Amino acid sequence: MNYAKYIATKAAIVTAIFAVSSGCGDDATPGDSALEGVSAITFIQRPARGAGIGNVFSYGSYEAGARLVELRPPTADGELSVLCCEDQGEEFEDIDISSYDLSFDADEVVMSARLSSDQRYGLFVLSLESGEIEQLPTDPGQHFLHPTFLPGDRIMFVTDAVVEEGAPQFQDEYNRNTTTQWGTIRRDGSELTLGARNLSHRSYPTVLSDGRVMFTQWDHLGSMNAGHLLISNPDMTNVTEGFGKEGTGVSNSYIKTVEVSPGRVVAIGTARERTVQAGAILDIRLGETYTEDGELRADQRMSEANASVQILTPHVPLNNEPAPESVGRYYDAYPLNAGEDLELLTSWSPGPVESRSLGAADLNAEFGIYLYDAAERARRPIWNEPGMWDVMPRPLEPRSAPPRIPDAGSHDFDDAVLLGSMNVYDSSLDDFEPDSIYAVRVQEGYSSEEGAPRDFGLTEHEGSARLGIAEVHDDGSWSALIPPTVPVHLQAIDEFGMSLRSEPVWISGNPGEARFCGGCHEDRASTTVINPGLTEAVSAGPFDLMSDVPRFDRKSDDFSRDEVVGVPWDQALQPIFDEHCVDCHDGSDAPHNPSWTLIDPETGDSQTITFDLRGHEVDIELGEPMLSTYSASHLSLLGPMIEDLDDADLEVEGDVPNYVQPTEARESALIQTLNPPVQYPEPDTGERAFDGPVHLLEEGRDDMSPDEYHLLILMADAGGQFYSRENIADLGEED
Amino acid sequence: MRPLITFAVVAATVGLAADVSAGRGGSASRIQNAVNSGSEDAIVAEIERAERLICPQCVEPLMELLDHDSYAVRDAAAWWFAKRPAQREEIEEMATARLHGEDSTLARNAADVLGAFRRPAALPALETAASSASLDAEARAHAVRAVGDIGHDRGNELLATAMADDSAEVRRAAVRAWRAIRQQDGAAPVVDRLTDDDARVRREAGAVVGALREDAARDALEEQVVSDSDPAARRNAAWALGRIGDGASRDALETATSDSSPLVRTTAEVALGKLR
Repeated sequence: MNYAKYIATKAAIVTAIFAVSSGCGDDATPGDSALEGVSAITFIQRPARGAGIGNVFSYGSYEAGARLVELRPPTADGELSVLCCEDQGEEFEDIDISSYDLSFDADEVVMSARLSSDQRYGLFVLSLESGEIEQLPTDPGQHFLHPTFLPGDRIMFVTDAVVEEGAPQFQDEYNRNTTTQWGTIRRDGSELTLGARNLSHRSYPTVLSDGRVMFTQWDHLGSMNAGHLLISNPDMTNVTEGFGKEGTGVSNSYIKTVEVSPGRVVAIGTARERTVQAGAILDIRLGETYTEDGELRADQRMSEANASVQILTPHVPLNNEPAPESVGRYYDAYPLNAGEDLELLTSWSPGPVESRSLGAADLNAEFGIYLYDAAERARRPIWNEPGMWDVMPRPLEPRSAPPRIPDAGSHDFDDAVLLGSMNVYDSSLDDFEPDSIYAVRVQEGYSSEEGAPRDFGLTEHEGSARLGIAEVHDDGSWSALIPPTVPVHLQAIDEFGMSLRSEPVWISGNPGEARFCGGCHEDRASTTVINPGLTEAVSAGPFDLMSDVPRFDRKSDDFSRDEVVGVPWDQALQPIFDEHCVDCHDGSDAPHNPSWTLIDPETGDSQTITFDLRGHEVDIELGEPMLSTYSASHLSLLGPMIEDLDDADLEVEGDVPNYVQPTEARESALIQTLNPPVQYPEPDTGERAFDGPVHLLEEGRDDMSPDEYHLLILMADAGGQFYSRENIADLGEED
Repeated sequence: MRPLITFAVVAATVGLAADVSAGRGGSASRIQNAVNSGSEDAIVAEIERAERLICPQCVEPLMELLDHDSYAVRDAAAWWFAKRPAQREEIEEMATARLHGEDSTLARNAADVLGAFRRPAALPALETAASSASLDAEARAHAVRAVGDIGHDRGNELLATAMADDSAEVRRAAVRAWRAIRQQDGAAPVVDRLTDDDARVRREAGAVVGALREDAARDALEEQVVSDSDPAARRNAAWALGRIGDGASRDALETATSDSSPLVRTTAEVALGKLR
């Protein structure tokens, strides 16, 4: 049977007797089901589509003709009625609805809807009793999506609007879209508040029974490129990691999370792109499991290290390969019980549910509503409207409202974010030597929306600016004030100014927020003990790291150790190479200029790349120029990355050196060879970071200054960027 | 045996692992397969995957994608070339020539490419296209849109001029692009568009003057919020008046709280609460 014929129609479903297997499970006849106690369900019907939903964070897709419906009873022969928006006025004739949530008392629905192609997704509240609808006041020039009710008459959403007045919204470096971030608004439309930003997308918020919120965060820092689950308070403070990192994950992205019981959620696990925002159903336990009141819960010792996951649809691909015909993919899942064996309302489509395969067959995914029995791996059809996506089913019934978590109080430092750790040596990732950490360096991240070219160099890292360092006190504590709503990542640095551990995530805080960790990625399930009550960092007060300096002024006026912010390659580094290095490392055929050769086995074209620290432009060429390398020095020290050569099926003769390891100056051959001196608390050229000679002195040349060493270290630890904010004004003036 | 599969077991037996590096694994053949499929989303995904791929075989098919019917595909292909300076320079030359030509489709595509490159050096050519009598409205609108994509304030004059274009499509694109200029200071040129003949332009204008808190728009917004025939334009006007926050707008907003459209009422009520 081909895919097109497989697509179920309502008539076929009505007559279905047996469950549709998820791939290799047994057929099952309908029996007692958690759905039997449900009098009605709601779901959205959206016109099927084949474009604009290419990755899990795509959000602008619009096709007129969506509706919110009720199915009563929730069976194939139940009565389907339209809740919205056939009777709500002519403004809604061409509506598309991307998502919705049901209020805790089941009296209202909040929807993200778009009224025409020239408008954006906005937020609408529908009274289920009266049928009256109202639009909440949001920026009509921006999209507002994925609304979810919070306790206390608030609604959380995500939006591409920007919290930072006058600044452009971050644009994802990979998919180029303007990122969505989060915000809240009161049910009456007042107090719209946007939260601190991530450098990439945040999406799919959902409220948990303890009053907190779980959401998907796209983590993109260097080679990290994945959608993980995070948890925060409803006022968008106190963000913690939830699931997906530290080896607990099974797929690239986790989306559309819904809580099953305390500490336990279901989510869709899938690849980032080409899966029509659908995938496998995952049963995620955020901590250690136990059973109480017939519920399997996992809210004890919650931490990523203690998290686990069960794949409820084991035959569904977790990557973006086409799914087998009868396996398909799941768009979403809503749990109907909380026992060991889950039953779920789901939206499922047969066929490959993969963009390329669907496109080749000129088909769309065909999501319909099903009841999924995880124990039996059986799927019972409920409703499928041909040509429409029937998605986001859930019982139309009240649920318990979680407790309201009060908004976090503000500290006494105006709008700055107070950042710090109680003991930076407390880490689940590293065993730091006592007294080895001199300070914590805070690096701001930004993307090309500020005017940089579409890349920051051969590195995969985004734009970076050093906000400063906060010295670590004797008790291991530190604190700093940083600008609000600005993504930063932290590096514990040693007395040489080199990173000992670079946190691979962006964090940010709201104005006035205090974000204090126990340590440096400490055990999240344990208690941090502070002796004897106050940390030295609190007593001494925080270091101010450009907390009130406007974004576009956060750049280097000079490149000295304590003043440098960005490290523009051409302005800060090339002069160092020109003064100290290029007399020898000039690309000439000599032992001190090792070379390697790139060969295209198909054409036989090749290019020999010789170590050269001069600043002239050079490209990688295989018959014709293939990739910008910005300058000979940048190419010699940074790239290309070996993974890219593997992907390209190119052959390499000779060793491709690894002179600069992004974010790891200490592991970089460049830094090891140069052997930098002590930087902190004062420069001391008599003490060096590594055993062995100091390269320049060994060669009988003048040594670099401590500031010059620091710039090279900072470049490597920041990610090896060629462009920085300092370049942008110059680039804008080019002819 | 229970049908559930615990990850640890799966990982141990089939080597499954979370792929945290989504931007890898591209190839010329994968791009070509995606092109053959005709799926816009698949093509874009494969181009993104090939972000840093050294791929001579990719150049020709990606060049063709610069003229794909889909804007999303053209944008992705241009992004790929933005990282490859030799081809980028060649494309810039070709695109500039197209913008000076008379083929509207080619000019539209050229504008999209230059917008994706985001180089202010393209502004003069875009200005030529935006005001060209030889190009249709779609091409001129894309030239204007590209100015917003570049986001440099040297494009402001061009946008202000385009707001008087005969075509509503161009005027709307110019209004929207105005907001996309980095560190934009005010929206005075947009104010006249609040009384544009086309409702879509008026909607966009309301959103922009509100976002940029353009005081000079207040009178027009107060008129618009109570009298515009388009509910979405009235809604946007109410929102903008709340952003501007001048107490003189109170009467107009109070009238708007009883508007016939559910798009407007709550926005007007909340805007009232923001007045000084």
